[in-house]
Order: sequence, then structure tokens, then C-alpha cells
Amino acid sequence: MFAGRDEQPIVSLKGVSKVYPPSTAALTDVDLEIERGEFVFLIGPSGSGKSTLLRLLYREEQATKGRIVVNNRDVTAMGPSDVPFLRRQLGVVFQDFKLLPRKTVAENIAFPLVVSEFSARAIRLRVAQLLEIVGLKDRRHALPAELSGGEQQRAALARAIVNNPVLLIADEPTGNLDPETSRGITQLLAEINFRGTTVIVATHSEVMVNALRRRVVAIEGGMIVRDQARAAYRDADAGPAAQPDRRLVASGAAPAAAAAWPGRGSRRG
Amino acid sequence: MRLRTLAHLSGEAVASVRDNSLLSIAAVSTVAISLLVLSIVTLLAVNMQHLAAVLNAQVQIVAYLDPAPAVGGGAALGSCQAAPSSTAATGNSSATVPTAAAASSGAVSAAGAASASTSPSTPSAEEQTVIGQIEALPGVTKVQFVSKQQALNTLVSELPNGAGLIRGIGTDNPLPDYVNIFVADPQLVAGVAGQVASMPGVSCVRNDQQYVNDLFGFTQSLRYVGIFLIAALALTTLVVIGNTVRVAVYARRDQIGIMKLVGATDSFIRLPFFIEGAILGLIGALVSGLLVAWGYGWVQRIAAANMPFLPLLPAQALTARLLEGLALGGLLLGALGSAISVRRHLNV
Repeated sequence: MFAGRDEQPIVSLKGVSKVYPPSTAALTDVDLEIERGEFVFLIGPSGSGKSTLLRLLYREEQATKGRIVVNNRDVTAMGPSDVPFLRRQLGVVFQDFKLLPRKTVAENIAFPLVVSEFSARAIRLRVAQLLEIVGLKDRRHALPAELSGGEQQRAALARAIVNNPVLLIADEPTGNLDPETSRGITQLLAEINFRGTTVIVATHSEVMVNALRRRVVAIEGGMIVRDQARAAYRDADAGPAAQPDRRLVASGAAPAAAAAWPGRGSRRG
Repeated sequence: MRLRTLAHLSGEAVASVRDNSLLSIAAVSTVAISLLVLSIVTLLAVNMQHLAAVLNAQVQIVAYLDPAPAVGGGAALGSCQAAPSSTAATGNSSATVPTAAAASSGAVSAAGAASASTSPSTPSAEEQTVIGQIEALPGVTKVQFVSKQQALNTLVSELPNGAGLIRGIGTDNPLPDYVNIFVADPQLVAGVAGQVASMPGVSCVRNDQQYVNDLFGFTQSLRYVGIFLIAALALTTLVVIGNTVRVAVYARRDQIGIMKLVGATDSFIRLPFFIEGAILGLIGALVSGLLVAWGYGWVQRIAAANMPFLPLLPAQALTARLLEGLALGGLLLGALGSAISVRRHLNV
């Protein structure tokens, strides 16, 4: 599942801190690596720093300290004019979908390609393909307001991957959806990951995490308190507090994390 | 940037103008009014300058010749010079002399009085002598005699109700004979005027150069007023267009956020707002241009009918050039206004 060890991780955070002015520490000294092709859940209570971490990845926020590399680009060092080209390699999905209300489903999905100045023909082909994948072919002329929540999130997902991103970032993608619909979206995310896109999902949803059984990174108070690879996550049911991840050990946060998170039962969904 | 992208962004701009229709109308009106005032000032200045130039090329000095020697008439007519102070200074000595000269030469003129009134279009012998003297002055290039009858005819033709006027006057023409004096160098006008005024047989001298100079001065001050007005109105226009674009930015902030998210470049995000500003400016310019073209044509027709002596510049050539200038001005004002606004309100 994981890419070869010799390949650079697609996401690498080293000693990253984020302080919102005047003095709200959202993230403190975070180390994290995500390999190409991985599927990672980012969990933690509200205000723990999940969203901030994701926003740092697509440069919606800038790190106060530390170094972030995404797909071999140093996000912390790049100038503002490089940001659009970073984002063209990423896809981002939100809890509130963020579809353009006056554009149809097809137009919404096509939007990143229009912005990236693809040809009309390429856009048409690719959008048709995406409508098929997310199952909205029949709804392509509908406006977002005419769609159900699940359909809107499918459209948003289609828009996020229309540019073939190397990394899909989803911030609470099922936050507004009922469990049944959530499962459908989760399944779609797994499919996208299966096609080779690295996926990071921040979520509160235990259902979602349990459904897929992938790597789980837990954040609390702006620090990574647990990082369980898929295999370790499975073993956590049996063993005490799982084996600390090697990256977590390196950061020195592991002992405290293990103490704070004795087992799966206390994890906030 | 692809042409198709430009078309797409222009479409966005047009949609934004439509979405903000009320504010767009306000912006267009402001641009139109600003450019209208600007055009009026410009037209006024251009015509003033034209008028001054025409007058400058025309008569420079008018010398009124002594009519029949009425008792004390010389003194009364001597005041025909609504003398500006500079002429009074240069021709100070001559100002008193003509009246004295006129009084002394009264007897001479009396003999020719009959011939002057009987042959209306040619100078009398006395007048011919004066004309000869004037022609002999250094710097004088041409002396043109205008009889009292010709003067009356000109007056009648230049005034709207000239026919009525001449009926009122009847046969008793109150105008004097006069000569137009042309001088090679405008610098010499004051000196020549002074010398002519001191000649016997000349009742008084009108120095048109002074009026022309005054007109040039007035044109100059009009230009300063115009520059001030233009600056103030340009500022207003910038603010109004900037405000309209600010509202447009605000209305589209969600879309802008998503555009940024999916990797739109700064220029891609900003361009529709420049185009929107330019469209607003251009429409405003067009509205004011049409108003000016129509209004100037109207003023010119009225002027031609009622004030034929006032030479206005022809409408067609002038308004065509004015429209070009207005379009360019509107476009620049609009684009600049939105550029300032986008810089301030759009953090990309």
C-alpha cells in the first residue's frame, strides 16, 4: 500500500508551529510524514488544530515556525505567486461543500479546469468522466440548491479531483451528512485513494474511521498525541495503547500521547 | 492568457455589472456627469481659444473718424475707448490730444460734412487724408475704410433682429465712418493706436488687441478652473467606481475564495473586476459623449441663428475627437478606479 521508502513523502511537517495573533497556539512543534498513496484520518476534538494543519498544507495559512513540504514543494518558503500552482496539484473538500450557487453541477466541477485554462474539449471530457465516477450524471444541469447534501458533497468531491490531484484534503467531509450518506462519501474517498490519490481526512466521525481502518493521526491541543498505522490500529484492540509510531518517537511527544490516549474507547469521534 | 479565458472573464464582468445593476447605474451616471462637465469645460476653453485666435487675426485697431463737427461732439465720442489701464498708460498723452485736435479741426471737417453724408461708401477728402497718414505709420500693413452705411449693414446682418432695428433707426444713421487698421506685429498695436488717436480727424480709437489679450487671459484662467474641475471630478469618479467594484468584490467573495482554492492566479481573479470598471467607465463616457454631441450641436445651431458674429468651432470634427477622448478617459478612469479598489479590498 505505501510507496517505496526511498521515495519522498508527499507530506512532510518538521517542527511546525502555528500561532494565531495575538497568542493563540493552534499547533505546537508538529512532526508528520505522509507517504504517497496513503489514506490518513486526522482526528481530534474541535479546536484541536486539525483544520489548521490542513490549511497549512494548501497554504491557506502560513506556519509560524517549522518546514512543510508538499509534493516536493516547500510550502513554507514559496512566494504568493507559486501558491496557485501548488493548489492545482491538490484537491480540497469542506464540510459546507463550498459549491458556487449560481453554477450548475457540471460548471462547478469544471471550475478548477477553467481557472487552470484547460481547453473546452478537455474540460468537457473530464467533467463527463467525473460525473460518472461520483454518480451525478443525471444531475449535471442542476444547481447546488436543488441537490441533497450527499449529492452536493459528491459534486464537491468531483470538483476536488477533477484536476487529478496528487493529494486530496478533506476537512470534515461528512460533518453535515447523515450516517447513510456519510458511508457513501467515505466509500467514494476510499475509491479515490484506490486510484492512487493520497487522501487526508479530518473528521469527528467514528463511523468513518471504523469503516475504513486506515492510519489515524490524533491531535489534541495542537499536538499530535497518537499516530497509528493501519496495522497498529488493528492491534490496538488487543495491546496497550498500540506501538508508538517511529515518527512520533522522534518528535518526543510519544510518552505523553500514550498516557493521554490510553485506548480507542476514549478517542473523541 | 487564452482568448477563451478572456471571453470567460469578460462574461463574468458583464454578469457582475448586471447583478449590481443599481450601483452600476449610479457609477455610470457619475462617470457620465463628470465627463460631461469635463467636456463642457473643454469645449468652452477650445472655443474661447478659437475666438481669441479669430479676433487676433481680424481687426486689431479701429479708428472712428470724425463725423460732422457737432458742437462738443468730439468730447462725447472720445470715450469710445472703454480703455483698459494699460492702453491708458501707453496712450496717456494722446488721450487728451484727440479731443483738442478734434475741436481745432472742426472747421476743416465742416466743409467735408456734406460730401461725407452724400457718398456713403467712399471716404471723403478729409477722411482720405487721415487714411493716408495712418498708412504712413510704421508697422501698419493695411487700412480698411468702412463707411457708416456699411457699418449699419454689417450690424443689421449680424444682429438677429437687424431688420427691425433698421426700421427703428429709419434713415438717421448714428454710426460714424471708421477704418480698420492692421498692424504687422501685435507688439506695435498699442503704439500705433496711440499715434492714430492723436491725429486730427480721428474722434477716437478702439484697440481690439486689448480685448483679445483679455480673452486669452480669460481662456488661460478657464483652463486652470478646468484642470481643477477635472481633477476633482476624476477623483469622484475613481471613488464611485472603486466603491462599485468593492461591492462587486464583496458579492463575489465566496467565488473568489473558491477560485483561490482551486488554483486561480491573481490576475485571473482580478481581471474581471478591471473589466467591470472599464465597462462602467466606457458606458459612462458613451452617455456623456452622446449628450455632449447632441448638446453642442444644439448650442451651435442656436448660436448660428442668433449670434452669427460668434465663431464657434464646427460640431462634427470637434465631437468626433471629443468622443475619442471621452471613451479613452472613461476606460482609464474605470480601470484605474477598480484597480485601486481591487488592490485595497481583494487580498489575493
